[in-house]
Amino acid sequence: MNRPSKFDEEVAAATRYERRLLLKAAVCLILVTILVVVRETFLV
Amino acid sequence: MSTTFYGVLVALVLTGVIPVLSGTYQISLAALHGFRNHYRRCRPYLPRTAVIIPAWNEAAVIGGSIDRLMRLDYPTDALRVFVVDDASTDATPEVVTRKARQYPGRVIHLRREQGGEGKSHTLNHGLTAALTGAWTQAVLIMDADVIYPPESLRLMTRHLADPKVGAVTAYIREGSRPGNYLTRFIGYEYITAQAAARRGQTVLGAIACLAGGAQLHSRFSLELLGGRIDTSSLAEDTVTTFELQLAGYQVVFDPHAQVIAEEPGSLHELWKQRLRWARGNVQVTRRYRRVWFRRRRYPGLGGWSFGLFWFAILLQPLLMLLATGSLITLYFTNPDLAFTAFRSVWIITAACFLLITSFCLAMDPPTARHTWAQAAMYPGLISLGLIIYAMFPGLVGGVGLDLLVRAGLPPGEGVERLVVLLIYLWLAGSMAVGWLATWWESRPGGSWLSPLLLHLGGYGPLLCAITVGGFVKEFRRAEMTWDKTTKTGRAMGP
Repeated sequence: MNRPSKFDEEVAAATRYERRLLLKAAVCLILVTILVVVRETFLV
Repeated sequence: MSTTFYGVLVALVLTGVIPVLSGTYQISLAALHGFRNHYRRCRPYLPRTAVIIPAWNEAAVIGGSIDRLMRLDYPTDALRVFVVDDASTDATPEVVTRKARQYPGRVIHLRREQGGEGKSHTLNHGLTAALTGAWTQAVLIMDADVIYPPESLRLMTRHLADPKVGAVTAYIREGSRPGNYLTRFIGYEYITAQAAARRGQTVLGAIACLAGGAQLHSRFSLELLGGRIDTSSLAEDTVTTFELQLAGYQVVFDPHAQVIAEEPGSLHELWKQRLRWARGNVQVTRRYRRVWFRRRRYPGLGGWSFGLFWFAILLQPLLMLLATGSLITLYFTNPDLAFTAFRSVWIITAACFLLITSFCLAMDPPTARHTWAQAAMYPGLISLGLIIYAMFPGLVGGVGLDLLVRAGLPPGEGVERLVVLLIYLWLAGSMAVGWLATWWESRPGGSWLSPLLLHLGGYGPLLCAITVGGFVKEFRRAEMTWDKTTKTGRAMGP
């Protein structure tokens, strides 16, 4: 089986990293939403 | 007073959140960059590349930069470095001559005897030399202090394999070691303004600016521009970016092609650099007035979203002034409504700030590790206090009251009104504090007072103050001078 070239590895790594950003953004959004909900529910 | 009057005032107060909402929208788009990018059209491609380095009194950094370029993971016979010495008066000519001898045929020293005309003139001198003959297939324009890690150029050239791509820009990271509070603020700013914003712009299909210190062009795209960089603007890199995209070429931002630059370590230097950028942006806005918000004719740059991003930043100081003025008017006519509008502005700001900051820090963990404190203090400690107050008024109000009493100021109507007025004025007042921090830097006590003022007023408001300065200079048609940022060679590579 052919090993992927350095070029292919770099592109694959970049693509993986970029796709993971969606997950990171979702986590940030959930955390901010929880904070706002907690504030509205318990601290007003 | 009529309901319409109050409605208009509340709407004007809420214009203060347009920049932060626009920023959140732009940065949120970065989350989609994994699904809309140029990677799938990349191919292994190593064109013969001419590197052009404009240099004026760069003796402290130019030797190291050339050595780094010579160590790039790139075929040695496909790389030539043209250093355009813009009549330097320091040891730059000697350093470059020595390097030209050390790397024969690979480093070319070009000397301009009449210098000081600006970066674009210097670049054009180099472009004329680089584009003579057929050797050059691509041109990398960089700054003398920028450090290119071995893989960086190769990661940029892979995009030029697509003939639709006219230029590629890298992610410039602040690399001063040891840095100071200001370089760390800039380090975080670059995550937001480059790593995040340019990913977002890529998703939209239009890039605002090729980074001046890291822009790779195909020969064809440069020839389309007449083989020259525009000399009539202080934002020559933005003009190039716009011209290429208007000519139908794609401009690519590759966040994984990373280079390191030394950024200003003093507020005075920062003001000088950013004033030039701010004036350049005003010039670009005027120059491309036919483009804005004309989506059908100019897809990408003429899109509504791109126009929103551009004008939200450009007009941010004006919007802050408008919001503050309206809030004060509302305070004197309907204090309860003023408080509701005030809290709405700061709650929206708080939510956007938390989202932007957490996402940006997660986007670039190595930079986040040494800039997280500056990220938290980006809007300024006083604004941060207002954000916390807007979120938890009961909690903060109690502490504030306690502090007033401890300070010997028993809460009375007069004191309360004054405090509220100062809080309402803060949106615009923070810009004045940013200006004051810069003004005070070279005066007695500036070494501690200036950073203190900046931390209180905020780095973001300082940038807004500089934008105001840019507007004033352009309105007065001040002379276009190229105030070069001093580089000392304190940037460190990986």
